[in-house]
Amino acid sequence: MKLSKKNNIVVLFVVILFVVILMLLTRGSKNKPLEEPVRRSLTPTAGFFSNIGFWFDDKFSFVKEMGGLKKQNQQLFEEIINLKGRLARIEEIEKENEELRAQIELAPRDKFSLISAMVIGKDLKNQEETAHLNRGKKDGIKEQMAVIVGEGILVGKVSRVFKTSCDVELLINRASKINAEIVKNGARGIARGQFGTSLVLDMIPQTVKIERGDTVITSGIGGLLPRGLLIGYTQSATPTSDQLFQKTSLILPSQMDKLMVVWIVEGEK
Amino acid sequence: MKKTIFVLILIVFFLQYSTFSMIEGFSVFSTELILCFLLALFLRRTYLENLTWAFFAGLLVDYFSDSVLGFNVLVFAVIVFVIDFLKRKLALKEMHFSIVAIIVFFGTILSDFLILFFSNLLLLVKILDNPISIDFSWNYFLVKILLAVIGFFFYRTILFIEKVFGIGLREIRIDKI
Repeated sequence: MKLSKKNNIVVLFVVILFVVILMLLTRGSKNKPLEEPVRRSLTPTAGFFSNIGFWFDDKFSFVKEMGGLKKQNQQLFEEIINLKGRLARIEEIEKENEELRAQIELAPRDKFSLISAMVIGKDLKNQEETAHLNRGKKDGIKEQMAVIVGEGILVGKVSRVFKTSCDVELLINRASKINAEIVKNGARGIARGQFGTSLVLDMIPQTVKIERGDTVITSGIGGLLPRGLLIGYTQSATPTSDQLFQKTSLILPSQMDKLMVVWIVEGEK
Repeated sequence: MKKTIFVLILIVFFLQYSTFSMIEGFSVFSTELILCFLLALFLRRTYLENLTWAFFAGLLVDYFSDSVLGFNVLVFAVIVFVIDFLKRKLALKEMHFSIVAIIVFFGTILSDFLILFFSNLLLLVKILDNPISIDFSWNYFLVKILLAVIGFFFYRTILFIEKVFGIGLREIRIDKI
């Protein structure tokens, strides 16, 4: 059917109007209409395509790392992740011993009931770094559950749950805010995602001395995320624009773009 | 033909969402694979059909992202209008690589500007909570050039499918003002 230029504008206007009405009707609602059946029907397909992606990534890594080096590299990488998690716990224990306080329970993996999940998709646009996992309500997943890798390295938290899948808001998501604590001095702040690529520890009191390489963990405040999950390591601190606090970029111990299998923290054992 | 395009859109979307996002180094350009495909498709189909595909693809992207339902539909619909306008001006039955690449290159940039525009508009009426920003660096334009090449590859694929289905050039209505 041929349409004149004027009719094109009219049709476009009708479509825009329809979309705006749809947006207004669904505004404030967490779940989109028909989202559950759409997600449920397409999640297996996403899983299939993600397996292809993992396969290719594996092959490309092999080419890059030349045979046996690839496997050794992967083993060393996993060992580094585990060691970083353990180091966070050791530093925390040292700090508590120094201050002669009762030992606070940290978050080693064996203390928690964990559900393994595979990453089947990622939404990387517009700094909204979100991962899509193949576990949902039927597996006991609830919103705000922590998602970790290795020995207790936090990568994000569950933001939305469907019957057979869930969305994870990664730490570097611009909407992500985590209550954090610097292990060395107990200073608390908010770890915020920035531009979908990095993490900043903000709202740290000016009186606190921050050194490069200080370990930052979840503080457990609010009761949503367990205490002691490793978030990252500090860099040099700078004052905030209002000069009331200071902030520092965090070096992440895990690579957000290489997530394949993660663990969802269901609760304490 | 329509069923093939439907399946192709699904395949390209899942390649973007689930396959290339998992491969190190590919996630940089994979966020706009579906847009690339749509830009190539819009050059070959009629206005109303393009709006249908824009609606379908936009909803698909919206369901698998954190964006408000309808946001990507809005962006794709405006792009359909712009592409149709260009098609009328160019009035070419089959486009050369350079023209397709240029259209895809500027189409992806236009999409980002539309995203910025609509997100700020929606922020004003409190439909969105967080502002969106885009980093217009040299990397940004390099990715767009790569997407332009991919867009041409999609364009050739669509031409091939049209040949397979026996849809000749007479079937494609390109109106000249």
